Amino acid sequence: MLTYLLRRLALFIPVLVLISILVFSLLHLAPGDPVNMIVGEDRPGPEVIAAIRKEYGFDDPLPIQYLRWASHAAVGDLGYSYRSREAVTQVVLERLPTTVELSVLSIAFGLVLALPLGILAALRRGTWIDAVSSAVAALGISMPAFWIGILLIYLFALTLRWVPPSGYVSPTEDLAQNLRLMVLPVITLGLGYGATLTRYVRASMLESLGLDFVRTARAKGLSGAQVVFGHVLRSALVPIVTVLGIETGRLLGGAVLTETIFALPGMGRLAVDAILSSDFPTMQGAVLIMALWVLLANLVVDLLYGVLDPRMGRS
Amino acid sequence: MIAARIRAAGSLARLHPAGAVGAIVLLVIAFGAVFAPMLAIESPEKQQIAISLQAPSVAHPFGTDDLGRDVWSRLLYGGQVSLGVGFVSTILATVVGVVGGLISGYAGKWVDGAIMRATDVLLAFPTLILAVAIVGVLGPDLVNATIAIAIATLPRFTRIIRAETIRLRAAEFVEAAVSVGVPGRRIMFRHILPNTAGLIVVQFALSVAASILSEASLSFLGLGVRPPTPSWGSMLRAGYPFLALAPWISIASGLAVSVTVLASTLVGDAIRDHLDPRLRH
Repeated sequence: MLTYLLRRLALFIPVLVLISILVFSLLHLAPGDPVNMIVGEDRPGPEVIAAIRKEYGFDDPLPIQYLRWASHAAVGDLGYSYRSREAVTQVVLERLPTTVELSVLSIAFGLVLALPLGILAALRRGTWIDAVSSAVAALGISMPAFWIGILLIYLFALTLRWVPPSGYVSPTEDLAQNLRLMVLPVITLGLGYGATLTRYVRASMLESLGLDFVRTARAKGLSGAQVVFGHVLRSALVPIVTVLGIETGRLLGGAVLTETIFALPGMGRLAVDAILSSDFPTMQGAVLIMALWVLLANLVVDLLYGVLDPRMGRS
Repeated sequence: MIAARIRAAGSLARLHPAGAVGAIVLLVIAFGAVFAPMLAIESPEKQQIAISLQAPSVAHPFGTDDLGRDVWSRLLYGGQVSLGVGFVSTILATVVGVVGGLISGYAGKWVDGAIMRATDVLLAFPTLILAVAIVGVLGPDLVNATIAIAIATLPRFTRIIRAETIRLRAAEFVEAAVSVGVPGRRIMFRHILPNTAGLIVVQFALSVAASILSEASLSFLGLGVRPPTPSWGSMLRAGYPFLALAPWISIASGLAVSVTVLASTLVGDAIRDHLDPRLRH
């Protein structure tokens, strides 16, 4: 188990370093002088530009600039926004909880949708239940998050007027209002996620149902429910947990769209707004944190994998 | 000859009815995009403020948008952008990704290590976030969006082709070619590549749907086409502030994206099932 853990960590660190290099390079791959992005529309004199270059260290060789940026980032200093002059770390920390809340609630919603649908579809393979479940999954996968969101706003906010169309209230300020405002975004993001999961749950259950130990469990006289929940589901959980990790990236991508539709102040919106205003430090910070999030999610899944399936740890 | 082709297509359609429906829908949409100049009622960029936000009518079957432009005409021209970017970016990703995978799998050693770490890094970024970041660097426009989607898509091709190349490198016919002194490049492209064709076709078909979705997402975020050029994503972006007043703008463009993605997914799934039944769930 320990060697397995160490091997995973050994793979994690070089990828993290490469990601930080890529994120750092974003600024320098962009056409044009970064100074022009800082000054924007103003056209200051050469001495002002020279002062800015010195202040931001743009005259140093790129590897030096990278090491400076990375060593600051490693201790939680992501620089300052070109636009608002605020500390990027501060802004990211303000935005992160919204995206975390949206994602966690959407994962929960997706699981609540996918587990019963997928399990039922597998147990009633080939029947109308299976067909309906597959159709729902195909539809959910094909509908882009922004389209689901717009339909939900039109139906539940503008036509039926059950919930407000968009907006955000911090949960510490008013939890009830926060949850009311989160209903549509969570359905928007969770529906596509749940649809993808449904397919995997069904496939994974079908695979487990065909295994020898299931036949043994049935042969020794266990009831259908005992077999399904005691044996099949447990072994089917391993690939499902893996998918939770793989799908983290897509979930975050969907969060960007969902935050845009519902005007939620989250990480995705922060990154897009930073790009539209050429605010590179903020964009680098937001992208770095999201990449780190995906990487950590996959690491956690790998470790869970070792727990759920002890054979993994030993190999 | 033609009759035999039609019969073959017919039996394929009976084997994969959902895929056949998807293919027909996709053909109709492609027809609309290609013949947009003939099918459009007026120029998709013609503004008539006097008739803005009009509900669907005989003159404007899908209504008009906030600038009085005909939604039907914009949908047709928007299809050119959506399908065009979807296919071009996937072709780019296929070419670069497949060559990378062949080299990685065949060369092995540090070359393989370097290419695999590069794909690890690209795969660590969520597709849309990576595309957003690349467009952020290159600047928001259509060509850059195409490049960004291609870069975000290609690591999947690299991974799949690398694994297959490693498997095939050990095959007897490759060993035979090596033993008679066939140069590496020729082995990769003449001996190994043709044997990966099925995998490439399957991955291509599945990637097109994802790329169309990515273009719509980028344009919806304001990082794709520049106005006034229509794309389904940008129409949705422009239409949704008027959702209460003029829902037809959002509904028409949103349906166009969803139906196209669903149709391409059905075609992709059918191709996968047909060429590689092992992958079927």
